[in-house]
Amino acid sequence: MASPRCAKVRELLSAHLDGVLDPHTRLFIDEHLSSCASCAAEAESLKATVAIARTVPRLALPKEFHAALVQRARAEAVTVAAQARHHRSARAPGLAAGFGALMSGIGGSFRRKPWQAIAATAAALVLVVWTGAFASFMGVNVPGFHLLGLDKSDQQTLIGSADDRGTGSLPGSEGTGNTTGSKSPDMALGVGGAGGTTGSGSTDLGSLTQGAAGRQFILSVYLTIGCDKVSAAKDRAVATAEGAGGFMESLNYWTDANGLTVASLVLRVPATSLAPVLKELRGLGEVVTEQAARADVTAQHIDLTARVSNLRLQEQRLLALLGRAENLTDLFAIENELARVRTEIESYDSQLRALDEQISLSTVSLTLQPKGTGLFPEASLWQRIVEAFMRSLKWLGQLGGQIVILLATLVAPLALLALLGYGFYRLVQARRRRMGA
Amino acid sequence: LNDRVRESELIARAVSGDGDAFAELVQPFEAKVYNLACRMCGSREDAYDLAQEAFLKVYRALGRFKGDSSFSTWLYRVVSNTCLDQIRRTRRSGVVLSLDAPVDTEDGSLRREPADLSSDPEDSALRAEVQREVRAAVLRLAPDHRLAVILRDFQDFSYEEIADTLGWNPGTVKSRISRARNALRDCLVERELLPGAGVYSVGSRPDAPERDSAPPARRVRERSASSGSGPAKGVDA
Repeated sequence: MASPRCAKVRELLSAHLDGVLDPHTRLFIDEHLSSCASCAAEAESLKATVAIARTVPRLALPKEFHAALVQRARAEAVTVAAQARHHRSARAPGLAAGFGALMSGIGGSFRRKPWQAIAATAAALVLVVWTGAFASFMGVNVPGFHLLGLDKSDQQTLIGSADDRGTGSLPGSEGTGNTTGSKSPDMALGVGGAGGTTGSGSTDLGSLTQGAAGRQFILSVYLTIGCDKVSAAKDRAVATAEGAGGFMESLNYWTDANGLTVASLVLRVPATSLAPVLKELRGLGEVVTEQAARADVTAQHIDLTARVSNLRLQEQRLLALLGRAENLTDLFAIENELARVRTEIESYDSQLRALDEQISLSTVSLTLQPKGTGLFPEASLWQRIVEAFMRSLKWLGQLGGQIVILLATLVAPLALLALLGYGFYRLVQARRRRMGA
Repeated sequence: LNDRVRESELIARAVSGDGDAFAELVQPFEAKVYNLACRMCGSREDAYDLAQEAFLKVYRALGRFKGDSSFSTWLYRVVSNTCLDQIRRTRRSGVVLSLDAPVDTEDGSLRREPADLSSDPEDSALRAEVQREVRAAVLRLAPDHRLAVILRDFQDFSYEEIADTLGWNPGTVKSRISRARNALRDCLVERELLPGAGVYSVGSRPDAPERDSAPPARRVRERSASSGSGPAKGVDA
């Protein structure tokens, strides 16, 4: 039997038994088995083995298995939820955390060396001041700074100011939780250059509109454009949106403090043609600010679809029951239930339609203002220096305010600590004196 | 389609921390997974713990389920890997899967299983013995081979399903199933539970040519498989 052909055949017998070989190989093996008794016997015994293995009975699941699993899954759910909460709170380092650190630093100083206490206090103070300063910065849009704000939920916001002329893109981070920032460079939105370098804004909105396959997003873009003639630009913007199959949802004209007319309009544009429309809109003038956000609503969408389909089934079942109702009481009960189910269907359906509408139509909030005004006016160097100086004064004032607030918060606990410390000191003194005596 | 919608709804709810939704989601798989764990580790008690642990792993990892494959495939992947990890861990910690101990544990409840295969008591006793031998032989296989034959012959997975679940290429699936079955057959022949032991001369030991033809990378595993069957042979003699 030692022929290499036998060895080859024996290697394939198992797969041959399951009929997963290609016809050619199958034929080759069948031919060999008909001529080689030893291999044929081997095939038989393998077949018998498989047959025996397949008769090994299935074990019944222990009765308590499911209940135990439910219990453990519930316990797990608690920790999962707690983790989620922890995660959320960790995103917003606040005054509370700083204050907690401060208090623990002071509390520990009784036992530790004094410099440790001082260091801890200083660290906590820095933390608090930093938090306050950061908060105040968030409000004030200082030229040269661009802030990347992540919204509380799935929203992803990328803000570019007109000052980052050179950089066409900003680093972003995926807000949806599951995937990490590997895709983020694609997500960045270019900002049209301001001043001399108009029209250089490189945009990668395609990736924003496409995103991950099978997921559904609501896209919103906020655009501020400085243009020569506001009303003409408004007409062109509306025409652009309508040309792409969209429409103008609202329009608001007003005159600002400097007597300049500003138009603010909301355009709804099919998500598929958002990119070309934005390109058109940017051509209306100088882009002052541009900001885009996308919210992932896939889970919400699936959930609503499932609810509607479940309720539809229920409705069908109720209708079938209605046909078989034998007395008035049953009839009324079924009718009532049917009415309730239909109301629910209506409600979910309209939510679903609203969601679909938001997914298919992106929102562009467009602000049109006369050139050279608005958020980042073209100021002279001197003006900008003065402005920066004033801003730093303002910031210092806020800092001072924060410190005063902090000290005010600390008055009571510090007084208490001083009292305790004094008592402790007296106790030690008294003991030392007694020891001396 | 409705099942799929229901499934994705349950997944979404489970991901957001709804333990009950998760339990409902995996209930259809409980018995199969428990059986898989039982065949993998050989003891009912261990299998119970292992299956529970595997489901909890599924729960924790559910957020990473992307829908690239079907949910059941993904679930079996997690479960299979949990079983493999567990087996490798027990091995490393020096717990030897002896021929008798795990089988006895399972045997303790064999009475509860219906003797359904034949009305002839002698025949059914023989069958039970053969089945017990197969189960014991399965436990002596290398973990990968064990998993392959369990999925194929005990759980009736197709070759494609095994490949998808475990991420093996089709050739690997075929060869692992083949080796596992050959090893089972050898055990049965050795114990004269399978007729025709005389036909196979020493030279026809099916694993001999196979081992030579195996690529070098697989030899390590092959060796561990044979070392696994070492103590069993000792008991035999």
